[in-house]
Amino acid sequence: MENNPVCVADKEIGTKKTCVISKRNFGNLVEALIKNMEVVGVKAKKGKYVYDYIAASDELCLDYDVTVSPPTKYLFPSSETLLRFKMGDVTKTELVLDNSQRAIIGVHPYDIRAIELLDEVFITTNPDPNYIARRQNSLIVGVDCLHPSPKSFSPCMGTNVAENGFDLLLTDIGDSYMVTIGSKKGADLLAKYGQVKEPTNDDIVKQKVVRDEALTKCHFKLNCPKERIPKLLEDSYDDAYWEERASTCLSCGSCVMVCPTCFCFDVQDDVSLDLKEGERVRLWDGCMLVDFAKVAGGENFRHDKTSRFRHRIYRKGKYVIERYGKAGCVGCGRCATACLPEIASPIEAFNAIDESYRAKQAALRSLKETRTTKELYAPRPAELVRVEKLSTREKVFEFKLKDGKPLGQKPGQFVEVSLSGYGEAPFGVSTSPTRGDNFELGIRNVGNVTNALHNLEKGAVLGIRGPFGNGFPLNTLAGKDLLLIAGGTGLFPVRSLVQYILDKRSSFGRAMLLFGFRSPAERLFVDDLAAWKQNPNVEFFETVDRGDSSWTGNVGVITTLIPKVQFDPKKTVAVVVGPPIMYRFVIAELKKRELTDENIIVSLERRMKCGVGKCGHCQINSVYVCQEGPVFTLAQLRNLREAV
Amino acid sequence: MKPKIAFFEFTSCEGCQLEVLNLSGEELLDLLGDVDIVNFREAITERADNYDIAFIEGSISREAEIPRLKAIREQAKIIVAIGACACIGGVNCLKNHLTMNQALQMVYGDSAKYYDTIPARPINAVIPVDYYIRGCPPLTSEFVKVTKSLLLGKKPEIPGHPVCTECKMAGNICVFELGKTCLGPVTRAGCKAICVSGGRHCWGCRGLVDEPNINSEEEVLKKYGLTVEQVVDKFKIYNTYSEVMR
Repeated sequence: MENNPVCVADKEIGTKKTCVISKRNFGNLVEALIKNMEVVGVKAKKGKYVYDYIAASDELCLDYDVTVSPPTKYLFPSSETLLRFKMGDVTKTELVLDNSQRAIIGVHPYDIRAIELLDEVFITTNPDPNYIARRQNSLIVGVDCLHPSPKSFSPCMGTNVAENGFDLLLTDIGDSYMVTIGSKKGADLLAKYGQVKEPTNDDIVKQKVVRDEALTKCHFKLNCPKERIPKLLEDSYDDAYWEERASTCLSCGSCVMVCPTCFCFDVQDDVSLDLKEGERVRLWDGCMLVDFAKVAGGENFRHDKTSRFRHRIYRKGKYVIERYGKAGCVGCGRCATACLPEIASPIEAFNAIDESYRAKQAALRSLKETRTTKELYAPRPAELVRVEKLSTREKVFEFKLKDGKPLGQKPGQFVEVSLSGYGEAPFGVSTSPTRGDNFELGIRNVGNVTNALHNLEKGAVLGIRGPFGNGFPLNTLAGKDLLLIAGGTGLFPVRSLVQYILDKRSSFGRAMLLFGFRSPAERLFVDDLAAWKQNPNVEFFETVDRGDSSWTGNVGVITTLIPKVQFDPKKTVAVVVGPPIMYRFVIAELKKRELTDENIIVSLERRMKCGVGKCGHCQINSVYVCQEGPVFTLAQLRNLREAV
Repeated sequence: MKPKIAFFEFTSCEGCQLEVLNLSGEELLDLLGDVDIVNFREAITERADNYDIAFIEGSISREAEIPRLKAIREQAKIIVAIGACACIGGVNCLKNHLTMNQALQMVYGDSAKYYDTIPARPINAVIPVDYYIRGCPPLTSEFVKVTKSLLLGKKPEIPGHPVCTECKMAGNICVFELGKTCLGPVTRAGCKAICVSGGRHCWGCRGLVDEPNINSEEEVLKKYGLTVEQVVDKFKIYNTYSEVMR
């Protein structure tokens, strides 16, 4: 098989040379083509337009707006046999090529531009024999789009005109067509069948007039230069637009199936019923379909509709043009027509992203008008309503905000406690929001702020800022079996999660609690521990590193509890909170039990002075723990070398 | 040894098995070269209780069907549900919107007392099912495709995407554009959009895709003029047993 790239449109001969052909004579030319080859073209059907076989020239309908599906299907069909094989004998494999001569009549310039992209994809690198066979044997007769569809925006993409990629291009100037000759094949065709004449000045003026008039029929405006789109997208990966817009996506694939610049495919084998031979078939596939990025092992690398939706728009506006140098979207508007929830149109996405970007920039620029968050560093007054000793070094403090409002925390979030003259320190909240407006902080006496706190009595008023941080990912945890592992003061934040789970028990699967302390004297929240041990809704395990004469429970480090629980690693998420030394051993043990990095969640302790992502103390590589954390999956930490 | 295959029917019209018999003579002979058919009431009179692959048509709507179905599961290495009734409960489940007494009265009138019935259900509500050939009726070509896969020891590939994908591949004009409504956006493909290609719309006979965006489909149907009741009725026809309807 020859794999030479072939340039179909011979640009040297007659390019841009124009002539005029009467409509009657063009009809005769089509009739002549029908006698010599398969002719396909645009026909009216049920009030719409489609590409179909043409048996007589009067079936053609060349003043159409847009066709339901694009003409690219004649170069890259929805299903085509790549090769035939004999079962068990790979030497008997033969390529299957479609070498039939075919004329495609009525191709709008935006579709010609799409064909130019396909040429780049299938011819320039790794030349594709199936595509090239069809492309070499196709005659492309374009026609200017003078009545664009209301959803079309090709002028915005600069794809309403085509310079190359066709053999002939017609412009309807009344009783005749102005013909632009795009290739030698086109010139030969006219020479053989066409009675043409030189265009008069009047013809040339008419062509300009109808083309300009068509431009005024475009209802859309791209609000930024189209050259800016790739960079705009690059800077907007995390914009809220994607998730909001994708929420109504049906993942039906209609947008990609009607797109002239989409060319992704699947390959499947089909064998004969006697199981002796078969065919390898290429079928259209699309990145909007749910299984597109799924591998045999079950992992789906683009599993949510937001990432699929964003990926498609990125292809249209960034990836394709960067990779192939051709427009990834030609503005035909077919996807916008096909999309039932009306979310598919790339120009709407580009404009929305542009607007969002401008808004962010404007906020930066208009410093004077920016409203400050006055309370950013000013704490809210809170009254200490209860203090209780937990063990030798820890106390629990119950607070009530003086403004009477709830704190509004999620389990796993933290607050900054502010004590005038002593400073501020961060503490994980120990109570679930489901337990009323008051909240508790478990605090170990280790520094200046905590020492001062430990000296306070009921009734004292101090300051609270927050809640800060992301908290535990409750949506991810919902429905899962949960393995909560806490060591020492790690119980403080985990307690709020345990309370939350108990209060919303049906939202979660099994709850396995594994807690460890250094010694019986250092156990925390002993009443809670006793209650959970008795609670049939949780599976409770506890250990101490060193026992004493009164201790009858497990003795050993916390990792020794893990072999005591049976769990299904596919359904289980582990939440691990404790001193730094604990993480390494616990994580190693969990990995032995086949928990993946996505399903191991940790809460990291770091020095946090401001809590609002500015002071820099809590930074781990590129991440601010007080903003993106303190809760992370191990998968998220994979590239954060300083983390664990 | 050629694998032995058997066909069984429960509550159904036996149309799915008829569709299997629509194989061309040549295809049927090729198939018989690959397998021994030991049980196929629709086509042959001989019967045997020794088989490897059981194709099961129909839903379960009587107590007596349950032990019979379980016995087939015991015997067969592979169970393939064939058709909407077996795969998703299908139209038989429409009666689940009535009390069982109402249903018996409606069908049998005075003779109702001689019959028993239970809410209809797909066969995977009773036994584990290995593979599904969906549709009402399934395409003969899909039966062939799945059978060939099983003979090769491959897992049959059934699309996870909705009918719209295949409908667009077929080049159809969207029925919504023609002023009608359709369940294609949430119904599992594999039918090559045969109903729309034939000038109708999708009724949802192949069941819903794994992650149907029901809220969005409902909004779309309402935007195209359906009331909530009409939307629900549309889903009821084949998908009464699906989770979204319960």
